[in-house]
Amino acid sequence: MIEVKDIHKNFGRKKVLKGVSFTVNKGEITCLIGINGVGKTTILNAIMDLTPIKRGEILIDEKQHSPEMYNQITFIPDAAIMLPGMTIQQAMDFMKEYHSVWNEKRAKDLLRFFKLKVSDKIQDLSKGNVAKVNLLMGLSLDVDYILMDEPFSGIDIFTREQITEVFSSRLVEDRGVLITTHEISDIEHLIDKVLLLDDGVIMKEFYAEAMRENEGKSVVDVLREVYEG
Amino acid sequence: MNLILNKRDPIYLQVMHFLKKEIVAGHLKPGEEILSRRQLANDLKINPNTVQRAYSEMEAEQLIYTEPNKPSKVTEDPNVLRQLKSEWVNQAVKEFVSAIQTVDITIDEVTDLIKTEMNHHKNGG
Amino acid sequence: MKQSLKHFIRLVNFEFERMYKFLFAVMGILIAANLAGYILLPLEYMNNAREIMRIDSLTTAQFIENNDPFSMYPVSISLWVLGPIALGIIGFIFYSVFIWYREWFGKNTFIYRLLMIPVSRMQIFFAKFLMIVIGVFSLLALQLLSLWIGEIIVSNIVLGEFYTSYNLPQILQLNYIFQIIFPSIGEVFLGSYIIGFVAVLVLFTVILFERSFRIKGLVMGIGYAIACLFFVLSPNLIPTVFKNYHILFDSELILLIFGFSLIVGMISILLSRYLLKHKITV
Repeated sequence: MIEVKDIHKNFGRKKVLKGVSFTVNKGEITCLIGINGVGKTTILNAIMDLTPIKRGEILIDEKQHSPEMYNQITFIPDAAIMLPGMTIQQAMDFMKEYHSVWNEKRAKDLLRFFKLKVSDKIQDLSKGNVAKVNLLMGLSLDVDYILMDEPFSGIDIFTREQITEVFSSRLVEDRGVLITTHEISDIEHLIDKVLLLDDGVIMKEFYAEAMRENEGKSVVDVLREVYEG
Repeated sequence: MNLILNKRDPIYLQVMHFLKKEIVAGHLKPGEEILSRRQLANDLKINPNTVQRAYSEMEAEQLIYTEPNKPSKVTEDPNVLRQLKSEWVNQAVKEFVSAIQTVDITIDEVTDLIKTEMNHHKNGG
Repeated sequence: MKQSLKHFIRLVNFEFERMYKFLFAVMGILIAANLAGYILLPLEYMNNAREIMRIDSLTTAQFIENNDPFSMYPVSISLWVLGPIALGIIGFIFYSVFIWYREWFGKNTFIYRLLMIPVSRMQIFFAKFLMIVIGVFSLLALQLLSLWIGEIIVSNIVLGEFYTSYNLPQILQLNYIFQIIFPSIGEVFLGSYIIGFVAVLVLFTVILFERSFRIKGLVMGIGYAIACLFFVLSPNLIPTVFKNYHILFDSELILLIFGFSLIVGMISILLSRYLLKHKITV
């Protein structure tokens, strides 16, 4: 379980996170939705120990941040983070060299599934292929938790379908997944838990299926209530 | 996979409904293997947890059964199947009746309409 | 432990793969410029000497009596040799900054990947530091080799009577710059390079301050650097403070400066460790 406890963060004088708390459980897809502005990526960065927080605590399976955690949790960003001159093969080799949990077989499967060419250079990839490469790097680690930043933003419909397929078939298993998005309708059927982030706090937290069953409301219905009501 | 999900009903119920329809219609035969949880989740682009829940509920209703380390199969128990069919028809009739309740029509007229419609379907309409 | 050593070697190797173009370019310039100097300068001297002897009808002995013989000295103070050394120094100061900032400001933000490697972030720090050390010493070694070859080339161009031969240790004493970058006494060599590399550590710390707190951090970092400089040079003030100009021998003063540099180096490493662990931001 990832526990985010009352974290605060400022950008200059602007308060971006004003006490955010939630958990990400194994075996579930948790979706952090925020329609307006900043905060989502910052939360992911904070969980990954890529940016300091002003107050609060983040625990991963009850442990504080440490270098070893990067074999337990991984982050799939929404832009390329490998060196532009690297080929996909070199990027994979890089991951393999440092991560003891690298799963070569899964990497090969995903390469085939995404129809990526290992000799292609990172700098020459389209936005959709960058997303695929990022997904490949992240999903090929046998980690317990995966964080994804805006996996669908700016991506063509075919790539979107492929990614959705990966989500529904290969992503979860018994992992804990946290994704951010500002556009929910595409993945409403895929997610378990919904966290609504607005103005630096979690405005609402619920399970999508329970919401449908108990109140007959879709995720978008709830969103509309919160933002417009 | 011929299922379009709506966003307001629980997905596991929509999945169960779909599978029951397949069984009632005979597209899924008694004893036939059904899709794995992962495969179905994949085909419908939904969360495998949801499919898991639908399968568990159907197992509880004895509509499907799973032997250890094998794919789930449709029940071969004729009683269960008969009951499923009758429930299915009952439900349909209930919905139909409630839909036409307010219309001024005699039962004979309705029966005739149903006969015509069923013939139409049989003749491949 | 063994695993982390393996990771460290990989990181160093990885940094080397990203540096070698820069290093080889500087090395290429050094060799090309030095060779040009080794050939052009003695040729010019010999032409000049023949010209003078012809016009004034001098014998070789008479010429040598009135003119300096050729040696590695004019070569060693020429732009052909000092230029590449200056370029190397400036290049490595620049590279020490670049080695960090490229992780944030490259086409892709590689710092994400780098910080998510499951190793202590100090390994990344030391890999970059070691890269600067390796770069500087390979350049020095190349310069030494080049001077040794230079002596051979020059002595073959200039006729024996016109030439004063020096061996390599003598060449390294020829000018002030060489005395700084190639000190012949082991302790001085160690000392001056310790100060140099401590300066790199301080520079790294300033960069990490800036990367952690941006503008505010840059101010903090510069403040820190000034404090370090003051601290290291502070032994110079001891005689003034105590109004006793015989309180320290020069050698003791230098020893104090070295000692203080080591302290600054340690503090910089600890500060960098803290910043990388708790304050750095992508």
